[in-house]
Amino acid sequence: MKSNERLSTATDLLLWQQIKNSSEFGLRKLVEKYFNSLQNYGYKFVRDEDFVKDCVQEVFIEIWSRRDRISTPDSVRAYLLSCVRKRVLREGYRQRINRDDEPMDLENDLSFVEFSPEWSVIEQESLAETTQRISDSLNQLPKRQREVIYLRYYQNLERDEIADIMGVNPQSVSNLLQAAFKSFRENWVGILVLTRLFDGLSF
Amino acid sequence: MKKPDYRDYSVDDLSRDDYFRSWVIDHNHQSELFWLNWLEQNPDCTDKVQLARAFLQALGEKDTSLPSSELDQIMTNILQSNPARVVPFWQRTAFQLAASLLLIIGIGYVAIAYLQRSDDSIGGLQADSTNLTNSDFVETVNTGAQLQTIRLQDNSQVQLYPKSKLRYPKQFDPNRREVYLKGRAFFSITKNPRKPFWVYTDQISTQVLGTSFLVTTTASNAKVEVHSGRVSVYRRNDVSREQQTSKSESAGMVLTPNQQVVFSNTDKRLVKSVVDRPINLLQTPEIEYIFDEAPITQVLKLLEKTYGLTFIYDEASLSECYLTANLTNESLFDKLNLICKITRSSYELVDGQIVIHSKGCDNK
Repeated sequence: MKSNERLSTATDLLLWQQIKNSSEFGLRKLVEKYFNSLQNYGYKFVRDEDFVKDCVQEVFIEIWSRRDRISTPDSVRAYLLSCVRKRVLREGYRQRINRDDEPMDLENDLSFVEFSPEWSVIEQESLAETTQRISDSLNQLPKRQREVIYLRYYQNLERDEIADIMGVNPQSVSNLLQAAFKSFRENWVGILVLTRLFDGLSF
Repeated sequence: MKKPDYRDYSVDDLSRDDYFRSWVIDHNHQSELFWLNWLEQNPDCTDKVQLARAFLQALGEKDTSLPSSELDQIMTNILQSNPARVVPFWQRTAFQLAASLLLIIGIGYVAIAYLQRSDDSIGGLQADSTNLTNSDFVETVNTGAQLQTIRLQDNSQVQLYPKSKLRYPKQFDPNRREVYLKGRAFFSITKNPRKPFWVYTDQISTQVLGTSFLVTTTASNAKVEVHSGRVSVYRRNDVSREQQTSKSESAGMVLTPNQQVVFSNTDKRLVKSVVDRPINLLQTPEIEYIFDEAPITQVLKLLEKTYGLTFIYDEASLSECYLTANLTNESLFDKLNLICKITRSSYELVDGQIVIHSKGCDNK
């Protein structure tokens, strides 16, 4: 796709190779590059910052401890995201069971895009209002559609990568995304500017 | 780096553009500066930029970006919880050997850097322009008693104060404009978002796209005061580190008009504040500063607009305060002193903003 994306993928593979050669520097660069977005993704499943941070940290610990025999993924970023997804869901279940709570279907209980009041303080009101409106529209989408939109736009991933992470086939990803945009547009009736600007949507 | 023409971008394109994302998601300082300036020049694109920003923010929903201190902690955690691997002894020796070698090189480097700096020229700064030979540079020293005006190749103007020295290339680099200053100078920079303008001094680096500001360096500190536009200031060390790792961390500070930042050599920190003599940015008619039983909050709002500074106060406790006075010819701080006396309050400067503490005026 775009040249800087290819560059980023190439850098990732380079860093991965460095990690396999026990370079702490390579590890640090990878952590620096992805910790933020991995944490953000994990938080979509379990709303506990400390818990999610631990999970992300453990993903890196595992990579580092298996560095001499770990294989090289096609996309480092997609691999990391899917590790975090699995770990957060697994650990999330376990902790709930340990605490003797009723086991819940975490994966389908994704509480996506809850408007956080911090934004209104940080940004000008109009931006906060727009953010709120988009949040509302996103919140009306079914959970898996929301996740596809999130991975596509916030994590800037390609269709095949999203399919890998969510464990579905690429065609379903396209279908989910189309469906998401259909309802997203319907929710936005009245805000003409969006439908106009989002035309030209790829895949 | 050459930027694509963002005017043709849709919301979809913007939300997937790395440079845009580094502003909205990573709060990268340089990207922010670029986008704010770009918006100023392309006001008709405000809607789509706003929408793309809101879209990413709504998706991100929570700001999870980490400060670098926390990153260090995380790295330590990861490395230490590594299940005990037996490290062969030779590996450790090799490591120690490498470490001592690095140390020696390091000491050598520091010594050389120190020697270069101490010979009281801007020679130490030449390290930043390794790709240019000395003859491409002009060095101007103002030995007179008057301000000396220098016009640069891009039509930017520099007013050099007496006993100050400016070094600048005859021809600017295609991607950035760079000059080196010792002493004091006032810069009026021609706007060019594609070519940021950098002023380097021994301690700090100032980056602008087009604006006017004053830079002063002395043996013990360095100061930047902004008259118009936006300026970002970095510690010199942070800039060279950034260039080496080609990774921009937001170690700098953004200044707006009437703000200043001071770097002191003792604590090596950038401290943001309000300039000593804030200027009127609005050219408001004088009559507007004559108040007759005006609510104090209204007076503060006018001052906020006049000086482009942020005032922080508790609206409720000032609601009973009124002012009758003529503030036409007073400086900002004289105005503030007067207002504070009348309203039994006090003010302080915090991080380039003015905070007003009031006990209220209800006369109880």
